[in-house]
Amino acid sequence: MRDQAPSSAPQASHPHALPGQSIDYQLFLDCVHCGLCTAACPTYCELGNENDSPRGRIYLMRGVADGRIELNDQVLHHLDLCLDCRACETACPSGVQYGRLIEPFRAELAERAPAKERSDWFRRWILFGLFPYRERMRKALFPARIAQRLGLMKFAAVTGLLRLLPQRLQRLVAMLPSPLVHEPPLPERLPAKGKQRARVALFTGCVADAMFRSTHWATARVLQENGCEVLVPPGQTCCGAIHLHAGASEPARQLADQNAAAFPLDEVDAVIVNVAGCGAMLKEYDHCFPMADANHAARAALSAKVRDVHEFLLELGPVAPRGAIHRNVTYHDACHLAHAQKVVDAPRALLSMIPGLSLRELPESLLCCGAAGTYNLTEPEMSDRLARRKLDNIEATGATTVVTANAGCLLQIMREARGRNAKLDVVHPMDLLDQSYQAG
Amino acid sequence: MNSRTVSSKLISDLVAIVGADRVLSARSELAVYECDGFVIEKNSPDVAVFPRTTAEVAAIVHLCNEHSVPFVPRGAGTSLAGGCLPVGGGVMIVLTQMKQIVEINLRDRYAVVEPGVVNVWLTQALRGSGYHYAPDPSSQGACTIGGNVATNSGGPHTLKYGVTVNHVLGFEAVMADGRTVQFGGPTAESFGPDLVGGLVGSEGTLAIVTKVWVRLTRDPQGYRTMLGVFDSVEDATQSISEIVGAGIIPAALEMMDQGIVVALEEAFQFGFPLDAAAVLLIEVDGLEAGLDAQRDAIVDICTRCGAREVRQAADDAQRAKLWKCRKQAFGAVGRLSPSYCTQDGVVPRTKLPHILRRITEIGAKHEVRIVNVFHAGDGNLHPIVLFDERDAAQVRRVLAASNEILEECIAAGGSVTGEHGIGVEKIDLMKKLFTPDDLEVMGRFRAAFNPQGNLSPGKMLPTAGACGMEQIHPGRQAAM
Amino acid sequence: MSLLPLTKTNTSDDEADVCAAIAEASAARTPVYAIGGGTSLSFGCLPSEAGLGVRTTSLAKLIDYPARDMTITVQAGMTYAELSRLLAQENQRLPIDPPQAEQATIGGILATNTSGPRRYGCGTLRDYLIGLSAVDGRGTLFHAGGRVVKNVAGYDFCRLLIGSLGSLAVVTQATIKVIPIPERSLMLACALRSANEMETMLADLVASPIMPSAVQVLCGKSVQKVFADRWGDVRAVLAVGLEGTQAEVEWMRTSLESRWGQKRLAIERVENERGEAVWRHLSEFPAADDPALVLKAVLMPSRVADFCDLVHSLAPEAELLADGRGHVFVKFLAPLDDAAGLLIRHLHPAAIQLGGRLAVVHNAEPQGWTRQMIWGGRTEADDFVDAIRRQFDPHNILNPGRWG
Repeated sequence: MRDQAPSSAPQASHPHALPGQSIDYQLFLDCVHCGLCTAACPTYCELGNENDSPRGRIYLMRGVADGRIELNDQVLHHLDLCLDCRACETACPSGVQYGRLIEPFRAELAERAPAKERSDWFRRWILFGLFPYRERMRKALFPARIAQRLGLMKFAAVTGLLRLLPQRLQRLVAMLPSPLVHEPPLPERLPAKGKQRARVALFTGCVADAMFRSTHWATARVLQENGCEVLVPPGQTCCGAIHLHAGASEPARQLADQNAAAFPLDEVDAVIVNVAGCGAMLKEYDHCFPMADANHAARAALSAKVRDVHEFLLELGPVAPRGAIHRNVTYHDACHLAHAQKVVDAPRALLSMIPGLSLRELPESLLCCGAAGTYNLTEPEMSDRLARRKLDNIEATGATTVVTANAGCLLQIMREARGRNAKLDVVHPMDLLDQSYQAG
Repeated sequence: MNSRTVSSKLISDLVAIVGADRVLSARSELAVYECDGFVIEKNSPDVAVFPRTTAEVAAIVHLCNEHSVPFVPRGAGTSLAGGCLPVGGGVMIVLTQMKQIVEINLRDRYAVVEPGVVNVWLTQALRGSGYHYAPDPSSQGACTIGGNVATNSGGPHTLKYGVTVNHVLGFEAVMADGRTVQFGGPTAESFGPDLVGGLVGSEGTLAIVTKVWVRLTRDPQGYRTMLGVFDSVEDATQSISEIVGAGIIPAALEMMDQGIVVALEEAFQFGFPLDAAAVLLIEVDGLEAGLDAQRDAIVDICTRCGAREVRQAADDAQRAKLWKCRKQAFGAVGRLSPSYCTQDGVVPRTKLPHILRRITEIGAKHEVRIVNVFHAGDGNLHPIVLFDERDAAQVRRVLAASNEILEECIAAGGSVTGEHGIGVEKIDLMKKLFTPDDLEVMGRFRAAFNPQGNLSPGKMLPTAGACGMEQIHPGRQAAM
Repeated sequence: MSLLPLTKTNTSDDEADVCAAIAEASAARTPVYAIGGGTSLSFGCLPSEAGLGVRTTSLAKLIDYPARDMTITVQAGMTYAELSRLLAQENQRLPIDPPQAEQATIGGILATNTSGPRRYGCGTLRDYLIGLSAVDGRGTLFHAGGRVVKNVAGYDFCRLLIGSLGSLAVVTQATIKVIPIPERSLMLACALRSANEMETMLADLVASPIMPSAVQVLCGKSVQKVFADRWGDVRAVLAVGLEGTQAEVEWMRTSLESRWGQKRLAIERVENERGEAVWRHLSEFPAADDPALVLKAVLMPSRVADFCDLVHSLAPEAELLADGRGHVFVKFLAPLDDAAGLLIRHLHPAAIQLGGRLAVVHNAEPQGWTRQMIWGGRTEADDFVDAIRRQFDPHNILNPGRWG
């Protein structure tokens, strides 16, 4: 796999124009100000401040674009606090496309941010230096893995050594799943089991491939069990979501182009994604990069082929798994699956096919866990509040296993569970399905 | 925008009560509080404050009185009538941080909640208990119970279950003078004038509710949901009359007219005939033992009244599908027109054919398209007037049509609002609905609680000196 | 009527006359006592100031009855019995069931907030009143609400005037939401063996899927009057009213009989003529047998059994009718020796402690009774009742002294 770097620092442009000019003004007008989105918003639920609600943020953005509201630190903070979980889109009766307001608005804000802020160590080294590159990421994680194995992490945590690290790096370390297990990379092709029903390509991404490669293996095996031949194209790279949401739209587009070129779309029935955040991004390349450049059609073609793995399996008609798993399980809706992709029932339907599994509905399942891409690194306080709220809800179900289909959610919930010494397994639906197929 | 009427002393005093992180005084952060779901009239408060306890609310009210500034409570700000508009600026008391469900007592069938609890949170907290809180306005996912108490909210289930006031046992409130008083409580009633009933629906003009005792209702054992497709509005309304005449009180009885049916069909393909004049969504609930007979009777009545087709939901999934078309109605309206405004009027149920005919005529007269989706069981209309806000002449015709519809509701023996409230939006219509004596007595009632008039000024009652605002734009409202 | 210090009585069939009479009385500062059927004139404190009686019994016309809208508008002097007869013609009813229905008027029921056994499942008048006309203490006629079942325009004076004992305004007309008469109605009764059992049984009903329209517990001597032939020596009987369609009532009956059967309770099924007699007996309880004193307590439903127990220990001669919604009527056929002691020292504090209030709703010999005995202590909410009265009745002429 190649590590091809996109150009790192985005360029500032038209710094004197009011922000929001790149947004189709009609998108603002779609909001009729009814307020039905407010209680769906995690930050509003926590703070009760209309400025931290979707309706409020739209009002602020529109006011700034109109020149009616001053873009000061307070306003910036309210916009920064948005998780971009898009729960508000699910709640909105008028079909407001909130993501298409906040994302370009933030991109514009990032472009006009002072150069120092744009190139701080965190953005340079972690966001743009590490995240897109699975091998760099795996290598960066190697010492952590050794340390975990030797119990050094615990030692460091207990002795306070961890506190010597910069704060955001501390959080990054705290996020690491434990134990980090080394798994071999997936081969480029895996055959279908039994009669072949479909041929699919698997998207592996960056963070997930580094931290949850076992789930990729599980996903591939589940697809094989369901009669799918699985291709893992080597040229693929990070989906670009983290960059786009951090306001770096140009590097994101370069990653998108690389992916569009990597997948043999004519040869496969679908491009399968098992990470909600990546799936949402891949499905929206068309909207995220509307520029009519030479690669536009290729990006749109990729988007059209992308399917969330649960969605795909349910459409295909899943082969019933037979191995019993006797566990009390609850399912947490990843925002980018439920809200961005509207995949809500499929994971539950698949899980309920597993014999012996008791699936309990999670209160506030649709409320973000606070992971939200790099949000847990950039807005630690709110992120922690939402993680606590999520864990409280999980514990209230009495489940010993929580299932969710997004890398960020898995890490966030694991971290909070570790923090309170909760005996909780945090797994991907494919992990459980795989286990059931293998046992059956 | 009003000129600032509060002093920096007041702001620092507010900070002393609740802390700096719960006081907003920057213009940029107050902008979002200049209107609620009603966006025609806007005015920014001078300061917004977020109390967490009754004592803090009381201290804030005392402070407002000391400084002689107006103050207004606000919940989620989903009012469609400008109930949260800070007329004259002043202090906005935002109750969204008072959001605890204090107690759930199933034996005595009540729950105690703080005013900022979102309606659906209580539903969720009660799930599986066998009980629920019955009032479920369509905005229940966002609106607060404090706001429901202030506006006496309705919803799609009021025909059988009543409105908010039928489910409020009592509340604790901070009065305009800053005193904290409890009205009613966990018992079903008390002695003396029913102040609980008198204060529910007073739109924040008499007291600020800080804790509410609500009645809990047993969950029905089952549901039967039907959807009747009719060739004429008369046939559909006749069916409603016959159903009621047969002694059946449906839990919900919702109607959609041809305009909505066409929009729904274009958007979601429910398979409705495009020439259907009306679609009725009918749901009965209650003891499982009685439901099949009620369903059969309803299907029979609709068929006899000329229904072209009556669909029935066999299970929860099908029930959800039938409800989906009702719930998606607004999303579909967005496809018909760039802008729309939803009105809220009531007529006696038997006057529905008449009023629907008149609405069509009024639409034709003013050359605006009007579609209807509404709570037919209570005669609560929500005509949706479609328009393009860029066309100023059309906008004026929309306002004229809206007013004419509401006057027609009054003439038919109805009311200008069934659930959205008067707020600032309909203050002028009060004079058409009530006599000067009626309004004078209402003013006296308000004076008993709010003698200075500084709690939620400029709401509900047209008062001498404060003229009603002139509408220049129709509202664009999605909820009902 | 002899209870009131009347100098003369105005009996008009015209709303305008009522306005004029009150306006005149207001100018002369003469007290005005609104009188309906005269069944509850001793509710609360006894007024002492001589004044004008305004009798509403001639103001009894049907104004409008659009049966398919399930609403009816009548003048306030119409009796409940007459209203029920009108409604029955359309197979509808107002399930309030006051005692002395042939005399009790709609205005009187409204002023006293009277309700009957069906309050458990069907609610009270506040759940049915949707519009009214009334005359305030200045003689001003005002309206509130309307004739539609859903209406939030203006302040809700309909509910405000409920329970106001004619001290805010004289109600002249009411619009009421009505409901269909159910297909079938029956009652199941069982004998209770102990006070503990009462709360267990009431709680069991709340937890069950059965939706009764009435849940009543009869304690004391009056049990004998209805159930003597069956349970001669029983101290308390639980009666549960089941109403609805044939199928619903049948299911509820079977289900309840089986629940009670498991507890090995003696059960009686009460229906048809006997059923009507029992319903009537329960409705009439507060007024029957020419009582000397009737108290009404409104408590948390779970504390009703405790309260009954307390009353029984303090005054074993009391007859009690308790209710699953939290109401308890305490009836004394003979005057009490130490009414002040019983009420002030025991019953008022107990009612408050059990989450509610208590009041004297009938008193054959009210002379010498204090506010404290009749209403118990004041609450802060009472200050607002006073403030409203000052606005509605600035010269304090409407039923003065009723609140003590």
